[in-house]
Amino acid sequence: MESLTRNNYEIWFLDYLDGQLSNEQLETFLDFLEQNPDLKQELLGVSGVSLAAGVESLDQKEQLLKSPADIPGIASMDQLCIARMENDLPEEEARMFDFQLNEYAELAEKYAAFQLTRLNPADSVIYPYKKELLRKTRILSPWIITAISSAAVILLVWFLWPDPPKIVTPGLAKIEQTATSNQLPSTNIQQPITDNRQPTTIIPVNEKPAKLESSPREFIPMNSLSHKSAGAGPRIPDPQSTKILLASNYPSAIINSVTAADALTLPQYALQLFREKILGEDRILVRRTRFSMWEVAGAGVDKINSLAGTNMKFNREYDSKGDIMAVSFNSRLFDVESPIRDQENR
Amino acid sequence: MTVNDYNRCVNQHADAVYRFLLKNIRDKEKARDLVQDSFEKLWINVEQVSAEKAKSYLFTTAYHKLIDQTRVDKRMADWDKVNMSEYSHSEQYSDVMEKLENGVARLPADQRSVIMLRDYEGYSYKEIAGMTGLSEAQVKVYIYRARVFLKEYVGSVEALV
Repeated sequence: MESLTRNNYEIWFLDYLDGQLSNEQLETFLDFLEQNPDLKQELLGVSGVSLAAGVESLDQKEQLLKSPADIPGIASMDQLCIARMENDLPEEEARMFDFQLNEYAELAEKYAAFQLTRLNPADSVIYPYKKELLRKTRILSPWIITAISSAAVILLVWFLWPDPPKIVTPGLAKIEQTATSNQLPSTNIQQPITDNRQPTTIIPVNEKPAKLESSPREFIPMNSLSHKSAGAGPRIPDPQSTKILLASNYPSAIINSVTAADALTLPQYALQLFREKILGEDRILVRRTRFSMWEVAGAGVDKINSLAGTNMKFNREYDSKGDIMAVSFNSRLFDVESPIRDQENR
Repeated sequence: MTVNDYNRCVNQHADAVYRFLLKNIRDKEKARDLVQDSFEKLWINVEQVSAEKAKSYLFTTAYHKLIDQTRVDKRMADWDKVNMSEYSHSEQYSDVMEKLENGVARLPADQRSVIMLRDYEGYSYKEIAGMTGLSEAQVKVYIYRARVFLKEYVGSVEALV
């Protein structure tokens, strides 16, 4: 700001009245007033000027008020009606609108028409297939988990044992040869196979552990076997003999259509069921993927882990041909690792 | 969201979702399929969706499936091509709701959906915008246009009474 002189004091006056002067400027200004008493009197005269608000008011202001009906164009009135209906109007405008509803019949009529457009939920519409949408919680009781665990452990012990007992059934072996050479003629299949059967003998290959010796496996003579008792699992020696046992109940055409590649032994069939029913694996996947007890055992261990929250591991090692070479089982209680010697168990 | 939450959701919202779809698409079988698809999607994402947002998730899914289905059916209407005067009338109808439903069926799909979400389920503009992917302003415009159309379609109060 320029220095204060008698030529520019008006600017300083205005800044003083507006409170825009700094402390330093204020001191300068007050000194200037002391030195110029005439200007001091002038300042006092200026600061006394103030404008008072008038008391005049406009009569009949209500004539200027507009109602929604006065809004030019129907669309605007429609908009107002909808806005009121949708609670989009500010509180004051909504109150005004409600007031105008009583005053203007046209507006009230229009608003009533809009209110009819409000959709009411049709409660009578019921979705009839709710049950299909509901999901079931699968709750496994501890005894089921225990049973599955036990079964898995038994399977593991059975296949991890270095030399599992081998079962030989001479009678079935003969039938197998005949069936293979003659492509399973229907006459042979229809005949009861008990005629030429000889008692089955169990030939232990190696020495068995004490527990197994103390409770030797029960021998089941072939003439007591039927297709219903064929579910004895490992006691059925080989696929072909099993095929013959099952074939006795089916027409020859069906039997002949079954190739050796399609045939399953009862243990394989049981394992297939196990994978499908118990493990819940996809049916097509089960039939297309490599069928091995080791894969099933691994899947069983995984299933137990998921159900029981354990962290057991069942690892398999394969050679370059894809044949299993060794397996290992790790859990909190024990670890075991074993090479697979018996090709039949692969 | 647990299995129980999901099942509760089925019991609480299946009717509403079905009603929303049925009123839009007017085909029971297709509406049923879309309900199943919507709940199937909810089930697939059951761990990601909280129970509080399940209803909104269901309606969002149902809306988008509805739009897809409508496009497939080539029933999308262009609002600009709709001549409202064709739907105006002065006939007298004893059943207003029936007339209204006919009017709703003639709405463009996007307007029909948003006005149903607004009236049937009481969603706000913001919630509907979140479900449909429209802006709040668009939702508001669609609702306003739908109401004007329905009002013209249903007719004046005198004609109805």
